[in-house]
Amino acid sequence: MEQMKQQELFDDTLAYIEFLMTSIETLVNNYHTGVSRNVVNGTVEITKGLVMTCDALVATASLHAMEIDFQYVNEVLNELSAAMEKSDYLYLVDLLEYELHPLLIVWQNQLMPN
Amino acid sequence: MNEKNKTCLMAAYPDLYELYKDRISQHELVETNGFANIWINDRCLHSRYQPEVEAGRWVESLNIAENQDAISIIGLGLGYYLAPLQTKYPDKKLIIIEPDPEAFLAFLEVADATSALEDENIVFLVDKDPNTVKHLMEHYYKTGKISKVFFTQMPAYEHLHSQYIDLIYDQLRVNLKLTLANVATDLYFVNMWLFNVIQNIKNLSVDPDISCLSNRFEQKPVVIVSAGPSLEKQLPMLRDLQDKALIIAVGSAAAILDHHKIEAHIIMGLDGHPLEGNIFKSLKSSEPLFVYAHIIHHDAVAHYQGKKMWFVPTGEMRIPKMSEQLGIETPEIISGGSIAHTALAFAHWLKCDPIIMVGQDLAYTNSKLYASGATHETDGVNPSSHILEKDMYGEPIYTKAAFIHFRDWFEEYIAYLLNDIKIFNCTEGGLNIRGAQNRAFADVISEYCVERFDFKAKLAEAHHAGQLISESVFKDEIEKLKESLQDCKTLSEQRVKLLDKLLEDERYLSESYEAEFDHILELTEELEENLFYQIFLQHTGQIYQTWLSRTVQLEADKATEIGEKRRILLTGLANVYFEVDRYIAVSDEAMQLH
Repeated sequence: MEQMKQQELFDDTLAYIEFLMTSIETLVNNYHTGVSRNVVNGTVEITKGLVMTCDALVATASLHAMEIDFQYVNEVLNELSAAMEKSDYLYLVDLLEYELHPLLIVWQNQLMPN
Repeated sequence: MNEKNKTCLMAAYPDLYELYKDRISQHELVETNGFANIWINDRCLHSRYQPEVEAGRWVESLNIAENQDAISIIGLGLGYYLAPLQTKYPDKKLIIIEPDPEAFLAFLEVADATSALEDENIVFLVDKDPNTVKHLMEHYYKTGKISKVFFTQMPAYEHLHSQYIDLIYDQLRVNLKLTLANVATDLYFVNMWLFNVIQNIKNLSVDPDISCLSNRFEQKPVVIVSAGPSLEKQLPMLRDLQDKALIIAVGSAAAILDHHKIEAHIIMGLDGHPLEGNIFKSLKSSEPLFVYAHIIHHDAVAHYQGKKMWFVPTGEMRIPKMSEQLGIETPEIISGGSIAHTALAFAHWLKCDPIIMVGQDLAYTNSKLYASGATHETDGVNPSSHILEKDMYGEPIYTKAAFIHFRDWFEEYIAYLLNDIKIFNCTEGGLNIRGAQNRAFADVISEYCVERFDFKAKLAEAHHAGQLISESVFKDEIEKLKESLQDCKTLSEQRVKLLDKLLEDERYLSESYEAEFDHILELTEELEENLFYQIFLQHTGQIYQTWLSRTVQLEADKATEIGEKRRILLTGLANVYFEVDRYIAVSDEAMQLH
């Protein structure tokens, strides 16, 4: 029973990683095309989602062999938080696009069953 | 600064070169992921990862219509967007407004700016305040360099320079409307102004110009009286102010003071409409000195019996050319859309201090447009076409778009040119004018208008000392001009006839087109060298003609067939030539009255 729940959580996490990546792409695209330069709300949601994903991956550690580099994740989260405080939206979208998105791709590749 | 950039800057922007040749940017230049970047206010101006990709995406997101011939961008940074922008829009002009001179210096330090600096399709406006940007844009519009502009800003500047961007757009919005309004005004009034100017030059040998007033009223208080409805409550105080302040009544206010038997020292006018002629024609008193510009309705000058002097409002090119011909210098006074603007600039030129404005409601106070005694009949408030604003006390009041432009002009003039002088708005009603302190008229009088001074005698003395053009020199000049006008007439008639012929039966498709067109150009060249043309016609209707030429050019650019292109250009040219021919006919009519 417990294992079934873990598997369900793991599958949801994989789907959620996909959703986070799409959210980042939309947010970055909206910023660069001028649709919306306010990326703070979207970034807050994405960082919350990232933390939840990390928790879920720890809880389902028995189903995958991936090691999360928490130091790196924390660094990115700290940078995102600092950029938000300074309303440095360009740096925010940079971090999302060039740090977080590639990290999620790595995770996805490592977690996806062959 | 990069040496190549330095050389190009010196050649293309010598003023910027002088300012920046020995300077380096005060901004911290950093390298992120191998790309140059600027560190400003604790952040990078460009993407720290892929600045070129960032710039390319931004350019891709711009959706610029084909008929927009220019792109105005606030922000340059290190210029990463220049290459993709020029690739995507090779034929459009770029007006790059960089509010941060340190960023521009950084651009010159790290980027290869040579091609951008040399490119005649790119103009850099660096460290210019919004007002200057507005004037430069207006100049580009008027001279036909641009017609439809796409406005945008670098995303990073939206946060860093948000206030500057808001100010620029506020200024440009007002200006764009005014420029279009100017085209319509120019088209509507051009013949009337031309007729008035030619008629009024008669007085060049009779009335002195205002130079003789210079330095005679320094530090004296001046009251500029406008015709707004709030003037009624100030009239009794004006009556007692005769020898304590210089009183200048403008336009309809001259009639109001005359009606109430209050004497102004100076009355001013420049409106070319016959209604303005009626004001000055019907004045009972001839005591005030009448200060006018030559575009004023000729009846005003011809019928006013008192002493007169003239000035040149900015933008009027004919009188300075005529004066140059006569060997005299002309005193130019900055002018706006209202004679009250010119009076303010005139008071400033006289070095009066303080400047006190009354009757400057710029609104329908108590649903009226003028104080009692005005000669104009006017309609009252019309809520469907008038604008509801707040008055200086925060109460709702109706006004109109023209008054809001007038207020903006006052505010701009006060902010940029009158910062060394005390200026009071003692209207006690109507719109607030930022920069002019709202005070009760009685208080300002008791504080500043206390010393007695014989303004009337000083004006008479100045008028007596005024230099006049010798009558014989003037007569000779008029004869020369009459002769030259006849040549003008012949040349213009010939070129209109030839152009009509070329357009008839599609002759522009024939082999003789080039030879016939060359003949038209020769006639044009000869016409443009003509003395009368150079003085009176070269600048007449110029705004309309530039606008027309530009519109025709854009239309012709769209045509693909050579014949169609020729037809569009020749039709446009025919319109311009016909306009000039009309000006010549008006000139002829006015000259015959000399």
